[in-house]
Amino acid sequence: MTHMLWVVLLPFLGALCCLILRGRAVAGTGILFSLAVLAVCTNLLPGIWTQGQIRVELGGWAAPLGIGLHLDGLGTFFLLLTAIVGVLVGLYAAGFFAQDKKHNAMGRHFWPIWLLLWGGLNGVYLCSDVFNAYVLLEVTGLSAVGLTVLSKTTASLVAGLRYLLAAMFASLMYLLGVGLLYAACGQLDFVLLGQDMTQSPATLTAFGLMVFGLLVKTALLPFHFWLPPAHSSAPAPVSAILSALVVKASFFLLLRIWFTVFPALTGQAGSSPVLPPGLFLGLLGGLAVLWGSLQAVRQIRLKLLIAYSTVGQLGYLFLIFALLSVSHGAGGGPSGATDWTAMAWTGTVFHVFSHGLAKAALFLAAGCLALAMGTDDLNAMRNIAGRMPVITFTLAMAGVSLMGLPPSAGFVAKWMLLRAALASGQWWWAVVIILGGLLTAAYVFKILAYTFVPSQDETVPLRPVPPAMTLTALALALLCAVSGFRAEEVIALLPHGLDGSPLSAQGGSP
Amino acid sequence: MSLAPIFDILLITALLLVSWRLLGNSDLFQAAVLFISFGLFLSLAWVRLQAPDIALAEAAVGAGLTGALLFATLKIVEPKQGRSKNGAQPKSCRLDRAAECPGRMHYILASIFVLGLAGLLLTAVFSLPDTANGLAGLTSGFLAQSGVEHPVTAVLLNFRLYDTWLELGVLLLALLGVLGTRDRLGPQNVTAAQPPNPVLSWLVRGLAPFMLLATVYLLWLGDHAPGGAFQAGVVLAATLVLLWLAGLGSVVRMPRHAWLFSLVAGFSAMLVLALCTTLAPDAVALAYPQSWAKALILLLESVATISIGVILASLTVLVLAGEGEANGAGAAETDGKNGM
Repeated sequence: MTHMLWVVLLPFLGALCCLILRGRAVAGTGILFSLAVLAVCTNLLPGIWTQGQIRVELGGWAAPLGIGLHLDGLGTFFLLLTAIVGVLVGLYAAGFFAQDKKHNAMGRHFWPIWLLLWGGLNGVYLCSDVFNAYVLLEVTGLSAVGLTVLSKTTASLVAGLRYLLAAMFASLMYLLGVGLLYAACGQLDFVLLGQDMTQSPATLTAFGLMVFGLLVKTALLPFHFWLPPAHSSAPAPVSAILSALVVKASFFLLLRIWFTVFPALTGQAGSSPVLPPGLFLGLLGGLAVLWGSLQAVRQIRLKLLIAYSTVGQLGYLFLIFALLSVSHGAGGGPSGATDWTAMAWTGTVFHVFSHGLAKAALFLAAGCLALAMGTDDLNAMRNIAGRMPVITFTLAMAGVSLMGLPPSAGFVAKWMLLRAALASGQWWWAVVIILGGLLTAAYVFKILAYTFVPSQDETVPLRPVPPAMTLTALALALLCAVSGFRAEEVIALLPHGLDGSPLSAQGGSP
Repeated sequence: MSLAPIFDILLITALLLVSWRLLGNSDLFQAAVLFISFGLFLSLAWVRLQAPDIALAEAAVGAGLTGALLFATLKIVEPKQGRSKNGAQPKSCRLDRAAECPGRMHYILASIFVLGLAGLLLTAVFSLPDTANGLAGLTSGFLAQSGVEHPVTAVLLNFRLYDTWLELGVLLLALLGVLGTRDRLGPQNVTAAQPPNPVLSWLVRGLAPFMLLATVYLLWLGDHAPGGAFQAGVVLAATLVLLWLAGLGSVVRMPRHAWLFSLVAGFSAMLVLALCTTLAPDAVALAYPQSWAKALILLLESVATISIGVILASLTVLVLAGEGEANGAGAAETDGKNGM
């Protein structure tokens, strides 16, 4: 069986190779290593299928002393999403950074930083140690900022600096929490911490600080200020990586912190706090869905619209905290509760997956449009549908998934969340989900409407776009739709894959 | 005996006073000087908290290197001291000119946040158990098997080697990010802003061997006492920066390949260890063979020292020399802003 450490090792090795090599070989090596990482990730899948979860102690030092790596079904889904998006964005980047001399220079820096980022992201999915998670947050945060400022425009430098400050502030808040937690509990491992977690002012403060830091990193509503400028001013492949993957990594860590490290404080382990903190997060998530989507509708620049859409779509992810926190407060029947708890988990993981694919497709398509037209102003997109049908189709397919229309992966995600909300008797979240879907439809149709407007002057020439770029964007959008068609398999894999992770732990608890 | 509490109180007062002056200061130059003295007081505080390793790192990085980087940045941000005296622009908020200056509301919100946080932290800290229940006991229990005699080094280079590996990656990323924004492949042929001063160059010629000796000593010390790769690397970086300022050979004169290999040496040495231990059929990932532990740790620390030194020196050189380069880029940026 493949060792888990490979998914961190290989991208790092690739980054070093890309750093040392020069010229055309850089992109080739990068793609080669991307494919290898994808192969390793898929190779890990059978092990997870049969064993449920795998744990490795690094250096041979058992958990309280050393650092463990821990992979379960949830982590595998994030690993696979990162690998799929990573390979396709890598193929796109090979075309994108080959277009002229200026982009060539960017590409030279893109590959090493992106592969280091990839290693960091994979590290997050394997992480089982609160301090190790901090170091990984620094790796991902710093490399994400490094990628944002690659285009060196004033806008991207300002956005990158703001992103850097927000990310540093967030990691420091997280680190402060880790320090307090270590002082109170004397260990750092996720599982060990979760086992003897008690309620005390120190652990409560640590919980608050760590969650706060991760919320800033995941750009939940009041802390989303850094996201739209950073994601919209970065080069197209970078925007795709930032929106599809980087914010998801801190969300993944939040899930771990919430359900594995602090089950005693979040109302998971039978105890029911007066005001479940999950309700608060759900509320902010619901507001984010509405506010982010509204802002997206108002934008007139395509990349900024897509970036605001990310703020809105991220909001859906936080509904799970509210949905699951009430379950145990209400103390519903164990069998019924397990049913819709599974639905909430499936919906959330599906949303991470579908949003990752759809958003990457949208940003890549926007990059193609910007390359062809020289701008990403929606007003310039007249009659694009006639002149660039593949890109318009990509935009439409990704949009369909974001809206949550039936055949797509986004539909499965929203349908599951809806059913979980209704089955648990929390109909108000269903209202938020439906309203968010309508607003999403508004901004998706806004994009499409511009592409169909006939243009007065047909003479404006379009620059040719390499087919590798359009096709990778299309592939991402199609994948998003296909994984919706085969929803049964993915759902069947998930509850099984989540065996022994928070899901079954809750299902088992009375 | 009775002097210790008085010293502590004085130290805390000094820390608070310096940070208050630092925050309230609108002159960025004074703020940078105050930041350096804040770092020095902080490293004294670490000494008082019996954490000499952190004190060394804080003095070297927090006060020394960060101070140099701050001054270098200040030179770029305020190219002409005379212009700012006209009062055309408010001084305190020019770092990010595209953003608006913080208003009264921002200060009020920030103070509410900080006061709330301070209150929370105070309650939390006073609720902590009196007896420390960390992993110190476990660490000293396994110290004999770790290959070194200093517990901090044992944690950094053996028990939690994975973290140290990733931290070297973070350092590498910081340099890659700066190179990306400068669109350079390295610090080759970067020249100092001023021609080298003959007195400085004479002084550095005399000092450099001693600083290199200090680097090696700190590195060796890590085996059984506070010290090690990070502290030694910072001293090496300071040596390299001084050599560059004096116009003598430094990172800027290194051939690209030699520079590149010393840059990634520390990170890749651990990568090689990880690769070998993952590939070997009966080895545990990232574990040293028992009898080789001491030698391998020393080897890893030595290459890590070189990498840390070269990375930090390259970063500082790039930022210190930034003035000449940034003037060209700055002009382009101003044009861009007018267009926006």
